[in-house]
Amino acid sequence: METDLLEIERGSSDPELLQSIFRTVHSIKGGSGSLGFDAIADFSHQLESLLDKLRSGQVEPNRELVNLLLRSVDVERSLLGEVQNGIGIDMSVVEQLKNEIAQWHSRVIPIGLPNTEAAVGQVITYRIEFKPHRGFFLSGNDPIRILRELASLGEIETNCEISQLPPLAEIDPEASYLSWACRLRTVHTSDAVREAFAWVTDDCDLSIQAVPELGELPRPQHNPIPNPHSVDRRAEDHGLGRRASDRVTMDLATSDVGATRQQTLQVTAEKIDGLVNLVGELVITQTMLKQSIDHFDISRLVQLQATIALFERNTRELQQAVLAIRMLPVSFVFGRFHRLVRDIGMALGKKISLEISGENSELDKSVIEKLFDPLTHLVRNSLDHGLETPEERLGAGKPEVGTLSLHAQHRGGHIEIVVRDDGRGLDPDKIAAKARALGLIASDETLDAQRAQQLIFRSGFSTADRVSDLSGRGVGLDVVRENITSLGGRVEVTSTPGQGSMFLIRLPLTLAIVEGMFVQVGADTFVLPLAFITECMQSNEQMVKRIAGQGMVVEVRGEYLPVVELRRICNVADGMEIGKGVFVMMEADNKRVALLVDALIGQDQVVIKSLETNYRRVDHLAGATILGDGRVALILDANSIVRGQIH
Amino acid sequence: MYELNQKRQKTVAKQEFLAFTLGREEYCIDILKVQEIRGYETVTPIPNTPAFMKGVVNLRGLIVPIIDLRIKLQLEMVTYDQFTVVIILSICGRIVGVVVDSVSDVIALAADEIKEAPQLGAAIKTDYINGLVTLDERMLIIIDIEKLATMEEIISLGKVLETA
Repeated sequence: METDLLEIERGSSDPELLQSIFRTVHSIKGGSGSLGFDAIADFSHQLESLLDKLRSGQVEPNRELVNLLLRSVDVERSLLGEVQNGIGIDMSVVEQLKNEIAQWHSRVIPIGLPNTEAAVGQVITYRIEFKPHRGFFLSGNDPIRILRELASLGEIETNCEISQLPPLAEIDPEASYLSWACRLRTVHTSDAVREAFAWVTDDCDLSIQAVPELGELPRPQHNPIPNPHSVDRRAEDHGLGRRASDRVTMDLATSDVGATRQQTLQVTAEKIDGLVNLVGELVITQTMLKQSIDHFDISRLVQLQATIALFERNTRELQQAVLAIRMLPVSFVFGRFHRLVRDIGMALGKKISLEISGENSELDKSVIEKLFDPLTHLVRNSLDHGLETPEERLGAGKPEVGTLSLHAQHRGGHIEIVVRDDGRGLDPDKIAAKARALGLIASDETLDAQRAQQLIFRSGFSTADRVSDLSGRGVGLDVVRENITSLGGRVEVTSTPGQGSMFLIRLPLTLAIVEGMFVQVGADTFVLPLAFITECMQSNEQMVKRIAGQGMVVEVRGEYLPVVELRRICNVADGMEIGKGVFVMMEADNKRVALLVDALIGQDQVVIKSLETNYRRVDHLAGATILGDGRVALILDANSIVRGQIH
Repeated sequence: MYELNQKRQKTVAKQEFLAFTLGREEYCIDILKVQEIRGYETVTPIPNTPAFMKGVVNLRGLIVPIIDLRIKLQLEMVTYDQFTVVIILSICGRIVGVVVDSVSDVIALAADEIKEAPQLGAAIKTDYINGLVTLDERMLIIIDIEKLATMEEIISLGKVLETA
């Protein structure tokens, strides 16, 4: 509904949009009514009446109306959320919205159509033609129930049309061949009469005409004229079930219905079928292995090795398929920003166009969910501080409408997400001033652009002149960086003053498995992620040169790389001398170091186990894994090793 | 009937504790927090962690930190052998292991059997001691294991080391 409403606001006059919104609300009303969720049914009913006016062209959608409708969507969401999760909502908000909707109703008195809103109590005669489609019964409906309901509204005369009935031998008992023409005399409004057919409007041909008692020619009406009175009647009938007012008020604009629900996943049947196949193959391979071992002699060794290789392939495929189940397209996160950007843009008086690309890139579900908060913060920052007001932009020779773009792209084993705006960019002088004020740099020190940009990620750092609701308190970007790092990723910023800023988030695709190189230092085994290793070299005394007596570098094809001794980082007591170990060249962040270890042991895939689940995050460590003999080996965090050295 | 009710009431009020020894002292912890008891196996040390953090072990696929209570309680160090026991606890939603000398038995105590711990002066921090119990000439010190092994303390201590 929300997407369609935003489309309408943007100026689309596609009538199908209104129809689609109307149908959605109609379904919600029907479903919630029959399940007994009165509050939702009641609210939906009112919303539906208003939407009916919209779709029949009696009302033009203007900005105010769209705002009202968007807020109604929020309320619907929160009502649904209440039912699903038990999150209480403030009924007064719902009430207020209902009042506003009612006001819209009364504002629009249709011109040119006779008012069949009779004064309460006056009897109206309706001529009803009800012709169910052939497949009417298949949806579980029964015309007799509907006719009975009509009968409960007043005096009814029915005439059954049986001309469509085939001979008995040819009748399909599950098909409907009958139709009815009825005359109903009732005090109820046409709305109430149409209500009886609420569930079946798509499965029949229906026409309800009010026939004035005076015998005038009935005017053909395709839409019942919504009656404010009928709205009130419904309110009385349902008794609303007003909840106690001591429920927690939920911030509708930022409601996050999915967050507290117990985690469920929607997976395509295709993926599951693939899984079933792979497991089947695994079982077969296991049987093969068992057979090989049962009648084993050394001549069968080669065959055994081949079977184990097959086993490894099966496991790897299964692993990839299982991980793929949890992958969702990034559009899940990006999609939510349309509404956010619109609302904030309006609140700030700025004109902003949101461009989204690469939204089909897939990410693990848990990563996507954790991505929403940092992304929201970056977007808010851009909107609040980055993008200028229309006047400022015109003054600077930029187009009046600012552009905020969200882009996602797979790159190697990572996914890159870019938040870019064409606003003010970061002001290096302001940052330097703030840094001096905070005592982070000396008063006569100057900052180069790179360092300045790193500083904005520090806690408490904000160059915003005013603290707004959205941002500026300086408690933002450090949390963003922390969130991203906890996902195993990195966030960087590049900015050109006057032209805009770009935040780049890099995240690993799979959190759980990594190709690792096993290295030995002293008596301990560590794992280095293979993705960061460029090459390995045996060490000898001549390669290593000292600088300033303390730092060490090695020369690799003309380039000098700083040496990092793993045993120093990991405080391993005994290690080898410089000349006898192995250098592992690591590259991260466009920086390279030579890591000195005692020996290389091997290479394999490892399952990353979190240290933080039961302990906490440790510097230089990305996690732990369990070796074949049951021991724990620590996985090194390449980024922090490389970074730590450069500082 | 009345006596039956009385007896029933009496047993309901008792709390069960697991008693273990550390050096010459005997301690009790709430048994509901104990998940299992294991022997002391190879622990993988984690660099740059406080001294009482011995490292991590593999508990059926889960990485569990092991804490040396002796260091935490500032007792003397001993070498660990095959009789050393590790008590795996589930506290504050985390699984943590603590190394102790040996585990003795499970004791049920009623609230009135627990005496208040005496104040030993400001020099010795004893806020983790919930009370004392006397049992057959043994003095058991009831400790709040959550206070002693909380991650907050470890985390904040860790943070201090990081920024240093």
